Amino acid sequence: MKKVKGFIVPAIIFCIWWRGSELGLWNAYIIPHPMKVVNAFVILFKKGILFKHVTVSLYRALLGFTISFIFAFLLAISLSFSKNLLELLERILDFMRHIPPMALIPVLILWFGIGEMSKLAVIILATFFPIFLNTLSGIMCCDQKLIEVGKVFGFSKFHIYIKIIFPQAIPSIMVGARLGFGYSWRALIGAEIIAASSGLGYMILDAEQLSRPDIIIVGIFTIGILGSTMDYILFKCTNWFLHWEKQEQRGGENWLS
Amino acid sequence: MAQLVIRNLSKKFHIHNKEITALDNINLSINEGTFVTIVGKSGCGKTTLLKILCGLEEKTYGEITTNCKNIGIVFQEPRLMPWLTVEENMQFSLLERNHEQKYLVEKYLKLLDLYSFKDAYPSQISGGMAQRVSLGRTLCYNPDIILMDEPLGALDAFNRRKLQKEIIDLFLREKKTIIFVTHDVEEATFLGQRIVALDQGRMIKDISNNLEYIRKINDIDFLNIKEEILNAILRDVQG
Repeated sequence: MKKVKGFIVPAIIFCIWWRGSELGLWNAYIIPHPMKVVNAFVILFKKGILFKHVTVSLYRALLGFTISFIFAFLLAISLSFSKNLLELLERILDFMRHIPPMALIPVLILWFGIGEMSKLAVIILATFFPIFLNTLSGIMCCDQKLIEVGKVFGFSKFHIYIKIIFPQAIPSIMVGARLGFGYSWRALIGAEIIAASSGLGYMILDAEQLSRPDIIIVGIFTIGILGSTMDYILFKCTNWFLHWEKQEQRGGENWLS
Repeated sequence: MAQLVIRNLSKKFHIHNKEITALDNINLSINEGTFVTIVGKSGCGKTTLLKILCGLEEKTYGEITTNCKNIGIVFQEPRLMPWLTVEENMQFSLLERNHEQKYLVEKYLKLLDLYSFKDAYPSQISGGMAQRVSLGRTLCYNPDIILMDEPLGALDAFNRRKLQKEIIDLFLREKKTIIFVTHDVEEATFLGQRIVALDQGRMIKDISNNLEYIRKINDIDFLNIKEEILNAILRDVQG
């Protein structure tokens, strides 16, 4: 029932869109008829154009996300070990955090050209902070009472890290990863609109120049559906990782009751 | 022979430039295989004493000498790792897993009546059961001295009495030294072979309790010992 409920509003919007287009309530150039959009989708799909753009965009998003995750994760771990390093980098990281990656596109094009590097740089910048900050806070906010348990058992700092701090930080890291991937997807489309010869962002921009609103809508839907699908996959991965937390959130099924 | 000797132990805290004495010149000698209960009001320094004994807190003055290798503690809250199952929590203190240790974990799972819940997560078990897992985890560490910091404080009266009996059973079976901290005089009398009363960081009473286990709380001797400790604490408060 919950799943069906989620489709009610989109279905109503679709009906209004369909009926409004048939009655000519708006200009067909601004909002094309749904059938026209479906036809454009079928043609793009059959010719393999859509697949090509989706593949390119996904590849960029995943590559950027992976590089960013590695960097952010390692930096957060390093900073959690060294208070001096954290104090040293705190200001510059805070400064960088407030700069929208889109604002850096002109500089990135200047530095890296209009090739893949500039787009990857935009994605890395957009993805970095949610992953970095969530990983760092997950590690820094570890429950001191649990750390005391490790100390009483004579654990070394390494074992306290591996057996207590890191497992406790996983939920926060996973939240950062989900947020980061969402950001990477948004930044990617922005970067592709500005400087690209392939990808979903480019497909939308190209359709705008060819006055093809049907293709623009196909592009928008594809981005939305792919974004939701990727988020769902990450959500499922998070649940798999955090099966114990899921039970905790549900209040657990108390075996005694 | 004394397993643990505490001489002139003091602990002072500095809060907002104000010196607070948590422990004041504590002297205590505990023999191997003794069940000692430390009783006193909240804030009298009981937990601080245990934290110093297990190395979580630094002492300000004094000396602690012991011949034991491991000291384990059961905290007020179970402090279980929520991402580990009951069995994994019990194994938590063991960095190496060999046959002997696996046997040890199984032994305590069965002994503490946790075997059928070994695959459950902490969020799926009751408070009393979680505290038993915490006790099992400490036992698997195989400590020579077990410190217990009001481990039954958060439990209801029924679970509390049940666990008190289980702790006595364990003590009689394992013959390990137990130092049990509580604010409940009846609990201290029910459990301890030796009862130490603290007030404002000072030791105000140290008496032996030779009553047979399992003690009857309505027994006249039991009530006399309880009264003696209670009077000592109240006298100290009034004086």
